[in-house]
Amino acid sequence: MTDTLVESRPIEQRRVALRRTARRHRVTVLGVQVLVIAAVLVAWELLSGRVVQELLVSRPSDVFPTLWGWVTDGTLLQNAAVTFRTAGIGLLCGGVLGILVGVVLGQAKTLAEIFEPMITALYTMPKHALIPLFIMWVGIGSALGVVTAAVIVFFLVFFNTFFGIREVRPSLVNSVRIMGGSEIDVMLRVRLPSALIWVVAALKLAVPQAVVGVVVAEMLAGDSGLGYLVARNAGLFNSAGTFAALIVLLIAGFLIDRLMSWVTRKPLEWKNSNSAM
Amino acid sequence: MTGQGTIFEVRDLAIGFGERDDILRGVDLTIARGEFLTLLGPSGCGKTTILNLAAGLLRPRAGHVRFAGEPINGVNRNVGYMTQDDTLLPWQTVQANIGLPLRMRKVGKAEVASRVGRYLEMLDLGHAANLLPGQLSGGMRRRALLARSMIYEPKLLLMDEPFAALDAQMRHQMHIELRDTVKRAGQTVMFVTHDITEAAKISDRVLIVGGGPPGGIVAEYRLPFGEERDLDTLRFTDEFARVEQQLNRGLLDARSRKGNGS
Repeated sequence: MTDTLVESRPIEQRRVALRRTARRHRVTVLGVQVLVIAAVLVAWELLSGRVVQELLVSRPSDVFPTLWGWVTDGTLLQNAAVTFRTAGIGLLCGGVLGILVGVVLGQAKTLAEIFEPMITALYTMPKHALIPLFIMWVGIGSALGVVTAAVIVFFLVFFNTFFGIREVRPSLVNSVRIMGGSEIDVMLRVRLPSALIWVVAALKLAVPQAVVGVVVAEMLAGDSGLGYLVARNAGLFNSAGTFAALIVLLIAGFLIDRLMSWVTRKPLEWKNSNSAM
Repeated sequence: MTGQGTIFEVRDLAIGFGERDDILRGVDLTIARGEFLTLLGPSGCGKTTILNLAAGLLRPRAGHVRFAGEPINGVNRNVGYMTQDDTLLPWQTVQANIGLPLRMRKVGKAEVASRVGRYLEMLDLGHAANLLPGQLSGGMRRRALLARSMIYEPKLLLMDEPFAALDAQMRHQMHIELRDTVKRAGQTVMFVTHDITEAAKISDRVLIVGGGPPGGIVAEYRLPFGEERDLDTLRFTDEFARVEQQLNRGLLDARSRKGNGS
């Protein structure tokens, strides 16, 4: 029997090899994604006018020049700015209100017993069906988009904050009280950070939903914005314009999702720090 | 009457939950300052209930519960409480967690940093100061909790089976560190366990809780090992084996009284 241990590959070498494998994997995934998109675009171009009527689906060689035209003449920027500004204001209003009401009802048991079933009942209503009512209340234009987005965001943020506050372990609350913490300490140091993961999860859903709400409002009764672009082009049977607007929404949705993942990574770092030792 | 050296006192206590019968009745108990008292008993006999009374988290149905001569009304901020549950805030680093009680008590920044540094060193956590609790091993988490429970120098440290989740070796190491740390600090401890060996190793005095329901204190043992004890060798001595046997008999007696009233 030998008394010397066989030295395994040094840790640094293994790390380099692991990084290289991970990079290769990422490149492969990206390559396949590019190929799939290219294949869809080629198939779309070839099938349009041959298998499916061009009026219904347009073709990439018409859609992308239309899109580029909007970029160069400022149409895209102007309408995108309207949509995202409106969604941002709606998100802020609905989000702040959702957090406030969630925190209050999450702490006050009796108030929660009274109001939570009512809010749940309202939540089950399809929010987009309320748009005609909102038109009567605030008219058309960006106010309509703000109200629609705020209502959608409110429910998502409220429920997550409410349950986040209520799900806090009593042992954490008691330990902070025993250590000398006031009720404000319990709220700021335990309940809110504990609810943060729920709120962040809600925001990841709420941000794209706010944009959807605004786009739907713009389609139904808007005079500007990306939703308006979709509706106007569809109304004119301009399928290239309709698809160009939809592609903008697709790209915007994707970018928003990635942005939210990046923004929420840091506050939730502790949640992913499971036993590394 | 509460003696000068008594920190916590319970007289003729009865306690229960909701409409159910009392789980403890007729309990008398005192702890002297600087003493390491262990409540030993089977699961569900009411040991944790006594700790919760001392922490002001529960109120008795009858009897007196006094801390430093005063009745306990509401949460008792003069105790440190290390529960079985991991109560480190998972979103704060180890040093932020340990300094938390001091910050909430408005202690100055320099003093907080100095005391946190001292406890990190005392409990060998210096290398983990900036890690999150989720990145620590079980033993390190327990040490961080111990540091946090002691850093504000509470008059009484309550410990509810704090090492139950650790493996035998780690538990032994924690016993050594705990006894060493609390004796150096002159800390009074009320410790709860159902582990006879653990109780025999670290305690100055052991109360057996059981019988019933309703249960009570069924036996008391003052351990003969003295303040300065070497926990590495103590457990292999004949005297230690005798103490373990005595505690075991006391525990069996408490179990046999179950259902017969106490």
